[in-house]
Amino acid sequence: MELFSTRRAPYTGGGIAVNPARQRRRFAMIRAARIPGSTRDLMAQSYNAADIEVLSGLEPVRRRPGMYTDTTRPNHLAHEVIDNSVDEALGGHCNELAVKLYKDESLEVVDNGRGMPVDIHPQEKVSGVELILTRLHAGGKFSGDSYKFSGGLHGVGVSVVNALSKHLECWVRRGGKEYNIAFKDGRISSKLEAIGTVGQRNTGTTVRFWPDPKFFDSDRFSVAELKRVLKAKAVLCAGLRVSFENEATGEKQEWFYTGHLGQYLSEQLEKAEALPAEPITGRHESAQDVVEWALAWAPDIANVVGESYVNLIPTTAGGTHVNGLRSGIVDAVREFCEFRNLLPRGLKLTAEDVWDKACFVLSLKIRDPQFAGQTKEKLSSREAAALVETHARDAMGLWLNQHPDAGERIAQYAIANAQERIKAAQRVQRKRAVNGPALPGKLADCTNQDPARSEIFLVEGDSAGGSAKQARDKDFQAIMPLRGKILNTWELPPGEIGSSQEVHDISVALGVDPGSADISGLRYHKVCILADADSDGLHIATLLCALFLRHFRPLVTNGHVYVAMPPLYRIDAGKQVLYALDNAERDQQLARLAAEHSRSKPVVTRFKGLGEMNPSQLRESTIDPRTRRLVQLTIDARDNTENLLDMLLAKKRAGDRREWLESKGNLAEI
Amino acid sequence: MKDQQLDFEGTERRPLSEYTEKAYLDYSMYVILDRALPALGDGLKPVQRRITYAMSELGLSAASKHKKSARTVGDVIGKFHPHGDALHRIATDTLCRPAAG
Repeated sequence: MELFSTRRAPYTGGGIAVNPARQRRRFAMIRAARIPGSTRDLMAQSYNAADIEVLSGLEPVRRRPGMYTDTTRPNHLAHEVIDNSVDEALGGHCNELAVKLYKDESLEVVDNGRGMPVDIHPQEKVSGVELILTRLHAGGKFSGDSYKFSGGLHGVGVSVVNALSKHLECWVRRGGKEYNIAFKDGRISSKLEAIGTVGQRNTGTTVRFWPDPKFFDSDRFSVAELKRVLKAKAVLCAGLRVSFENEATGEKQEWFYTGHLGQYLSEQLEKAEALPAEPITGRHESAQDVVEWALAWAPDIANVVGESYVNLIPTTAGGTHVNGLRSGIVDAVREFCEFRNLLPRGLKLTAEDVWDKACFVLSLKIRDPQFAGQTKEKLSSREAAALVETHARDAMGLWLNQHPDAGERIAQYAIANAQERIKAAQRVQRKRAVNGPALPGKLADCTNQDPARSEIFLVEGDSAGGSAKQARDKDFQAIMPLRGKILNTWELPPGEIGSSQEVHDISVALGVDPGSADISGLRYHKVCILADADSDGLHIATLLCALFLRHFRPLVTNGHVYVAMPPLYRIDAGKQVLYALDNAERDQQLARLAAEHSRSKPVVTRFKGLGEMNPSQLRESTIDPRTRRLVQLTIDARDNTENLLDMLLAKKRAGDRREWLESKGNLAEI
Repeated sequence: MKDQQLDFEGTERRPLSEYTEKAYLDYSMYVILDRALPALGDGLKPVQRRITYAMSELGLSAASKHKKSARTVGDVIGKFHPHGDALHRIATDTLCRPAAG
């Protein structure tokens, strides 16, 4: 799907642009100062305050458009403008949104919302509309009062559109008058002025912009994508009439839904046979959040429909809300089966059995959503999982008991899946501990025998290993504690690595011989590295990566190697305990706490080691599949992995490492 | 296809090379800046400074009575240096030698 990423999080603090070469030099100076006897005399080179440039206004966007928007095509700009109007609709101020693509590749977005403010801002001394269009991080979305739920939280929003357009015109209808303001290359070219009168009730904003082709790889809008986004907005924003017109082709289209996600899901499923025929829907609304979903199973469908949205922004990679929906539905189905004694003896339903070919549309509206992943297309707000799960379980349970016939069909479908899974698993029975060499004593194995469902955590330190054992789900998660740093095996032949006890144990636990291309004996399909979030933990992760790449390469090429991301910070505020995976998340949490209640002062502590967390915290933050963050490590023949690791770990390449540190040391985050 | 569907988490993906390079870079820079090199100011590595400081807090000087090393070890580990005790004993040992490395 398209990149909505930049709207949610600006990639940097903006503002200051520092030349990388200059930073390197600065770093070299620090080195020179720190290392006694260094012969480098870099002090002579000038690096003064005057050398630091501060970009103001919209200049940073024009200088580095890639940090604020998707520069492959101008679609993302359209999304910014559309989202602005949709935010009005979310607030209940707008029910019509018209988008028109002109022949000259300019785009016009018209809404009938309240209209952007035209009065003068008390501090900035310019009109509201000018502020919105010319200042980064300006917007009514921060306070939480003007907009209840908003997709774009950071307010880089529409000013980015202005910055990257060669021409932008904005008309505001408000208070019986129509106003116009125009910009060229991000600078104001025609001041805000009233140009006519309109009816008192006629309000709204019209924005037309001409994207500047020099910022984009392709200067043409992708019409198909535009239409898809508009449709999604119409689907999710009940009662909003969305229309699209393409001047070049004369094509016109309109979407209008009255708030029934089920209807939308049926349409998506087209002719595929769905179970039940009418999708199951649920809706829950409170002052803090809105959850809405529709679900149906389509056993014969090739491409499963799974759409999720947070505040009307597509989350293509899913996230905590989708996990919550899944576990809620699965729980409800399990409960239903148990209640009606549908399960054959000894059969257990797994999430996969129930969720196979489940098609769903999920829309969640919450305040301050948090996103993870490099493309920010995955929701990471932990509270979302619990919220959606509770609601989905209740609603689904109710539905199943009200429609017992359809419910039994769903249960039969899940049971059939489970039986098939068990049959398949019997064929590839995992090597039992008794047939192979004895498993290492330190390994706490999982109880189920299906490698595809099993995970092993290689945990740094015995104490963290102990907590992890308590935190895991014994059914499918195995724990293997590692003591201290493992041997650097990069330059050892496969035959010799067994001499290190730790490495030997890892190899036995995995069920794969070092250097072997045959991984059919692999006992776990997810091998997760779980190390502390400190420098030594990073070192251990590096050594493990090297071990896997050199001696268990097929594991990496087949995507079996993962890194679990433990939180870096713990935030205590009164009785609440929150985790933050990184600095950005910490700041976000703190900002939210500050907004919520000012009485108790939040205390931020850095998690030094996993051993400091108690098992329940460890489960929530790193081990439970619903809320953890796991990163799969991939290799690509082109990305030169071998050479890089050789440079990092080979004995003879100290010189290269020195060079590497000199050129990149400034990028380290300690 | 089956495998992909099983992955409900929508797990993030990252190139191994990128992850390893970053991890090793952070580790190396930490070791260089904050562990391995003595500071210009007092000639002490961070761990040595922590030990010296903890001992002065405990009122242990060259003139005071002998005390079990475990007392300092406990203080240093608990308050300043969140690592194992073995490492700490080695560091203390090194600190006592006439020419510390």
